Amino acid sequence: MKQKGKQVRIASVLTAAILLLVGCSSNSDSASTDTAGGDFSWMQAEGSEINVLLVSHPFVDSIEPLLADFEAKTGIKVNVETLAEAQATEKLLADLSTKSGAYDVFMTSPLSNWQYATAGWINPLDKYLENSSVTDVEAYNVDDFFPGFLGANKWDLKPLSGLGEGSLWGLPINSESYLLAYRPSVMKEKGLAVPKTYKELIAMAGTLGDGKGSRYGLITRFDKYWDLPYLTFGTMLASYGATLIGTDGKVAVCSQESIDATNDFVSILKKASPAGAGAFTWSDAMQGFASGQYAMAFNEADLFAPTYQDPKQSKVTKDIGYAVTPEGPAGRKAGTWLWSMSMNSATKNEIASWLFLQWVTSPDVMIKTHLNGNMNPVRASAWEDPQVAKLVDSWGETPGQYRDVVSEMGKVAQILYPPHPELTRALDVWAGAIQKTYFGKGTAKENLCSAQTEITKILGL
Amino acid sequence: MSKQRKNDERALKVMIAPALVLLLGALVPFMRGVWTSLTNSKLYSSQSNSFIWFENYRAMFANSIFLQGLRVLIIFVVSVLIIQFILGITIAHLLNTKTQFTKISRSILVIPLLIPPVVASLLWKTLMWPTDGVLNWMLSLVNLGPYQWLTSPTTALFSTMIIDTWIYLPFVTIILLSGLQSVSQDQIEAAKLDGANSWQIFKYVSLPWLVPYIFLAGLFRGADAIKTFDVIYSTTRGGPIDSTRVLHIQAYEEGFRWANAGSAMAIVLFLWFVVYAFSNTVIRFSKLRDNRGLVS
Repeated sequence: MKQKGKQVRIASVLTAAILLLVGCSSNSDSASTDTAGGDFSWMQAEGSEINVLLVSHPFVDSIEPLLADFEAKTGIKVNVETLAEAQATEKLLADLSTKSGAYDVFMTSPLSNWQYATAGWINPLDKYLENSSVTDVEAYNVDDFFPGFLGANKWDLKPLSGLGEGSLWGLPINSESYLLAYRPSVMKEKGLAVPKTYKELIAMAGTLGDGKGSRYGLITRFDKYWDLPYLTFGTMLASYGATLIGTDGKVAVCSQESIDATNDFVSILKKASPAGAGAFTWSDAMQGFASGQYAMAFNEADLFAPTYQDPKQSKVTKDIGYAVTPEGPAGRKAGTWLWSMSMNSATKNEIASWLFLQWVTSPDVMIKTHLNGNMNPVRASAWEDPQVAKLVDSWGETPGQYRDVVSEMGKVAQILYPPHPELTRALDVWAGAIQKTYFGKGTAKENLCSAQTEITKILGL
Repeated sequence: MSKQRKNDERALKVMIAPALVLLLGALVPFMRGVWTSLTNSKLYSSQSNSFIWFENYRAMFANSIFLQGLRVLIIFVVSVLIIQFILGITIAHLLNTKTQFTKISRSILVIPLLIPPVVASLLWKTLMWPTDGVLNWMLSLVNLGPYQWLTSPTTALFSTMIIDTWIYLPFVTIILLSGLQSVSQDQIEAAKLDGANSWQIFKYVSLPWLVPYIFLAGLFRGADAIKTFDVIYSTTRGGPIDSTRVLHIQAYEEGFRWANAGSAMAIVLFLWFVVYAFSNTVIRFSKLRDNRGLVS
């Protein structure tokens, strides 16, 4: 009996040791940086569970129907939480700063990533892309991304420089630039041609509405946040030659070009938009134009097109055209915005998170999301896909108009301002100055020069 | 008895232990917050966590946006208290009868309290939309408007007061109604016999009875109004310009938009002090009134 007891004890210890070793190896979920092969398998993180934070956006509607495919393919359970942009950013900040790892993967942007990367809250993704044991390198085809879009997610962490260099902090899932969306019937009724310059737009601004309040001239976003000088109005600023940092390395928010652009922008809105225009968010702008209340969406996101073209969400599907943004004194320039996906550095499911990122940005899944309304493609193969081409070719006043406009804007679109962890705050201050000017609280020069002083302090210049 | 007393003391210690644990649970983050407010802590930078004494507070009081926010907050708090108490007393007086109509009205009165403030605020934002909101449409039927409501710096603060009143007026009314219902019927009958009219009965009999209830409702509503955030953030997010940018909004922006934990905590602690001072003042005044035998 004693002997039997001893044997049981030895067997128990051995079993525990074996289980411990197996447990350690199977619970370990970190990627080795050893690039010397291992066969790739989508099932290598089977049984894991990841939490994904998404921002309320057409991308969400496009990816949700596909999540079951990912779960079946990998055995990884995906829990998705979707929040409005402001709330998602703020909740994410709380999670990242406390390193709780509540979200493994999240939707973000280069702008936010400047702060997250500085803080060490996100993992650089280069090591996963180069590791053939966690990436199906051939099928993923990282070179299929437009270099500019991938580069916009790279930064070497040096404030106000280094964009396009250094580590890759996120993978782009769609791209956005800006255009004019207009109602051909209204333009025809008024005998107007689509404006080619800001001068032409200012001249016709007062005549675009019906004067009775049932249809207004134009709509664009205008709340006091960073997206105003960075994206939509930023497109106009750049076309006037205005920028955040001048060639002398100093803040240039109060340059003559910036003052002129601001005065013209305010003039356009006062002539062509309803009195509440000073508080419209991007969502108000998108829905406002889709509701048929406006003759034009001014310098608004091109990726609103799926909404404009969807009969369930839009009243203007059969009466919509697209045009490039007007030229300013400095020609035609434009901002760009990229939604991207990044990995929380506090994730406890590193491999599963990477597999999700790899899957969601893979060529075939990206095409499916584009067909479901996630625009615009960030991969060359997506634009070449016949189904995507067929979908977008029907958009606009004439066949292929949307695609032509996006292609044309793509030649000038760029990330307008250099990376800095406090860039969001600096741009918020700039937007506040523009909004004050609109509401008549001081002149453009007074407000912008005051903002310039504050932004100089914020950026540490 | 001594053993009984020891047992009682032991039982008392056991019963208050959970409360002490909770108190510690609240004190630790509070003290941590005080510490953070004395540093230049930025959430994204481990290098910026130096002790800077009261520099955050100095910068706060020197910041015109903070002072503007304080001014806006004072206007908001004083205005909503006045509006809600005048309306509250009026409605409570009207409901202080036992009819089928008042029974139904009392049930309808509590509906706003059942709706989360954020949901109610978003509903009102839709109603107040300047171009095609229902409110402007209704006003147009009597040749009024259109108004910009939440989208103009001159009307945004007033619009948020309307929303706050719609949400919290039932709370004030219910407390005042319970006060009115506790008024001694004998005193009212005596006043009637003496020839007092309704207004005189209300002024000289009911209102003095209501004072403790006014203090109570004022204490809660005042503290709430000083901390106001959800109504404003859901509708204007502090804009247009800074017309509704009360202090809690500023603290939220500092902490959650710009990751400036030190500055955010300084504003939050200032707000805490204001709420504490306000509550203390109301309670002391209420006690002083009691001690002077001013309660009938």
